Amino acid sequence: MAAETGTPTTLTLKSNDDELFSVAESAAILSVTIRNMVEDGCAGGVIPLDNVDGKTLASVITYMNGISAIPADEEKKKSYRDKFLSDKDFETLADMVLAANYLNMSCLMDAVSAKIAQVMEKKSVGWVRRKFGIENDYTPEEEAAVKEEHKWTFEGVETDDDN
Amino acid sequence: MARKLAKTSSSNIPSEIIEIILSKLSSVKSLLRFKTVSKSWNIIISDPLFIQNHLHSSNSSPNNNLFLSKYPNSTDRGFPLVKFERGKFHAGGIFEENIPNGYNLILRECNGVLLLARRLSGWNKFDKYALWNPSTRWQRYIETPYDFSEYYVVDHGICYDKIAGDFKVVFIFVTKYAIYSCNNDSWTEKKLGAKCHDIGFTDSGIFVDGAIYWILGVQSTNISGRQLLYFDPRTDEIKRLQKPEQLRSLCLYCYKYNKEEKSFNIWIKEKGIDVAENNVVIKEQSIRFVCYSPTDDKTVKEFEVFAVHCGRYIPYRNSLYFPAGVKTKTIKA
Repeated sequence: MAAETGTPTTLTLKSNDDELFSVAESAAILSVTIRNMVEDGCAGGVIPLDNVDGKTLASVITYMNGISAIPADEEKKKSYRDKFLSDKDFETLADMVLAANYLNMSCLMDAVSAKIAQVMEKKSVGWVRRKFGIENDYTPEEEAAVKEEHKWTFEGVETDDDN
Repeated sequence: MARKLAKTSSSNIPSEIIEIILSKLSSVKSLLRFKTVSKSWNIIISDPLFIQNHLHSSNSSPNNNLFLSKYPNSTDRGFPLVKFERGKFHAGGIFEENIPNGYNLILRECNGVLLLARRLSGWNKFDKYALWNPSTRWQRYIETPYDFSEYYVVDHGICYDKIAGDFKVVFIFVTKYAIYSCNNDSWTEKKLGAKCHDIGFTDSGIFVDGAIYWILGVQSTNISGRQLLYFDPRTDEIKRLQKPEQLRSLCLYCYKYNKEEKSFNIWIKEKGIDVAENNVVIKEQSIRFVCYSPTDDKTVKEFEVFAVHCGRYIPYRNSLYFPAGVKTKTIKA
């Protein structure tokens, strides 16, 4: 239980690969999942986050601390989010979108999914299949038919490298 | 125990999250291309609810500030695209090609679907109509039962009935109106119960909150003068808007506000910096604009914007909407 004093409460979060992280409760409760746990009285011990690995959790905590340090200024928060996500590769973004979803952090979820969408924009169908691990379940004839219907959308697509 | 190390977790992204990501991809061109990724991606991208969420998300995107000129450029074939920035329109070098053959005017817009007309050289007479979504490049010819040399069209409108998933095109004639349902590919005629005439360059016929609104001159036994009319696609009725409380409509307030003005335009502005979604912007005389927000403080605010011919432009939306059924690639001339 959070004491009714002025001292900030610290929570301990545990990733699924058993890394421990300390984070201020005020920042951690950006996650509705964590907030619910705190409200249910789980805050005293270690909070296990079974769906997030240590690398991703470290990144999410950096975000939690960064964004909660910014006062209510949507412009500044937005530019912080943009900067925070600017150097992340696709795999990291994919891990973060899953973490944001599991932790129920709508602002991070919105920002990361928008960033992934932005990365995808000029990419080829092959790139998307590889990165998302999607199996092509069309028969060659079906695929050709769908492609033919939207032929013009295949113009100006980035060449198929892995970035 | 050794943890299984996946090369990437992205293959585990559940389809609900894929859907969220794709709805934020404003480029319709990319979405159409990604229909080829797999059957399940094709299903997501074709789903009406997805199409609705996608439009909502691209409407609220800060990058969404493009407008199409209703009139084609005289030198190039194409409707010029312009950017609305810092309260002004900036003409860009981009033109929207691939216009259905022979159509030279954008009349109305709804959810990114444009009602086009072929205007006969000279006055406000049209002889052919078509629907066109410039972002998907889908087009559809509308066959009309009317001989337009006999029938004078006072005004037009296009709307989307969310419940039925149907686009409807409305033609207002002097004493009657006709509704074309895209789903049924059929026309229905109804009586107006009054005489309507257009009052010149009002440029109304906008789609807001599920209905079409017009400002027209109306004459009947008990009313006359400028009136705000609306068409509700669920009942297929055209009605006169009387009280502000009657509908959650923003137009009425603006209409009242501008009652005494000699010239006005209703013009919806869902993009840009100053105006929130679903506000209506009214051109008052030539350079002053007012907007009214139904959700915020319910006041009419005056603001300074673009000085010229706001009625020239319609919002360019990244939209996957189009009437179900025939999506012709190219209309024959």
